[in-house]
Amino acid sequence: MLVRIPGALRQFTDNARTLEVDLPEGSDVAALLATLGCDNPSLVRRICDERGNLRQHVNVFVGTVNVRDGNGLSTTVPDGAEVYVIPAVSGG
Amino acid sequence: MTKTMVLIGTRKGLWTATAEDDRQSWTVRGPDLGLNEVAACAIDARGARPRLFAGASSSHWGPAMSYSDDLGATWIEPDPAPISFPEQTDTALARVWQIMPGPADQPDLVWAGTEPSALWRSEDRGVSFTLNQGLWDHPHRKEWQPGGGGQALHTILPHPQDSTQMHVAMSTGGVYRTTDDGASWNPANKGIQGSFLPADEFPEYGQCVHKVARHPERPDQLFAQNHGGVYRSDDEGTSWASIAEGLPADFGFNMVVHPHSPGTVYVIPLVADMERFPPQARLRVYRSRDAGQSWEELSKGLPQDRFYATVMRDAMCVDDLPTTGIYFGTRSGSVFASADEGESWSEIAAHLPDVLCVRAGRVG
Repeated sequence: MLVRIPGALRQFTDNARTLEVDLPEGSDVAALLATLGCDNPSLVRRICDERGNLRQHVNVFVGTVNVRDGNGLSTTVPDGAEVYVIPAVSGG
Repeated sequence: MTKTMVLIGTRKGLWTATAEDDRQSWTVRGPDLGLNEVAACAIDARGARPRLFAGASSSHWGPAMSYSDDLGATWIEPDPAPISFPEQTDTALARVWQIMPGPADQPDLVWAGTEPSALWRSEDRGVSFTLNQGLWDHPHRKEWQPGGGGQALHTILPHPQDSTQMHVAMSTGGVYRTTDDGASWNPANKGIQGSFLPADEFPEYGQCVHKVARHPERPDQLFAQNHGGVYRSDDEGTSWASIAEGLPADFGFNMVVHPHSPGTVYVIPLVADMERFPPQARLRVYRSRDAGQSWEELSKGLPQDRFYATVMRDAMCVDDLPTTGIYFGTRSGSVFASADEGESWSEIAAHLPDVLCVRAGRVG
């Protein structure tokens, strides 16, 4: 599956806009992030805190579904889906 | 000629100001660390090369701690994260509030204080930190409440002569002291008022002590700026007495000691808890040369007309030059410096985001 990385986090991906991740069928977002974190812990700790909770102002979409509206990090990632990491509209 | 650097941590990034002419002219550079809020910074001059530290936090991407060995040209954030709460705490780091390099004879020792209130120790010069379990497990923890900025440990005072002793301060919680190298901690707030507490205004703990300082040559003597009240202890925090008489107000956030003169301290009063402005809207530093028995106003070069910005608890500091320099930054984005121990001031940076922390020292 393809993970789309926002500009602010590309410093942790050698400026790659997307990362390809191989996961077993039926894997969820938590498994996706855990796999990403093996090679790239700096990236994943921007998305989740050390308890594995999604940061308050970060949204993860599986396709067009915000995982907060689904099953959170237990949201299943279908084979071939695109996953978007997007900073929320916040700050000042 | 000595090169002096001022680190300026703001709500949106870190700036540096450097001077190579005995602090007469400053070059300001920044921002580093993007839009991150930099609530803690430090200059560690102990090694062969100075190491700069920054505790930065993004509203999107969370907190991080970085260091620079090239005076801010590049910043390194170690992997794994230097400060990460152990799994059994069921807690996540919210913000780094304090970074305190250890003594000269332990060049790899660095302390950090965080939100939620916790003390951290690094023995590899800030690359990795270990949680102080004694303070984390303290039975008072459940009663420490968050102040306006969060529930944080913001002050770390290692004993200058005895490595088994230390004071820390939290908002709220107050001052705590260890005499067994951090294994156990006892409150040290007797005499400090908690005016926001309904039943007992002088409790054993729970005060909102904003900042504590002491001179290394006089370790028994501590000075505290409280959330209402300015205090001195002559017995290592066992008891405290007011030294607010002579100040225009007893509210404020800062407490800084002169590095070469025990008993000389600086504060910046604000009118009151519910009126957080400089008295008469005049920005003034107050200095005591007699451990708080009397105070003198220092305002030459500071705005004296309709000035309403405040100075955060870590946004005031001193340098380590023979004639002490004093620095502070305001929530209106100005940084003022004095190269003559506070007698006169000049604005060395302006129009920055609100300043959260300032640290200064020799870097060459």
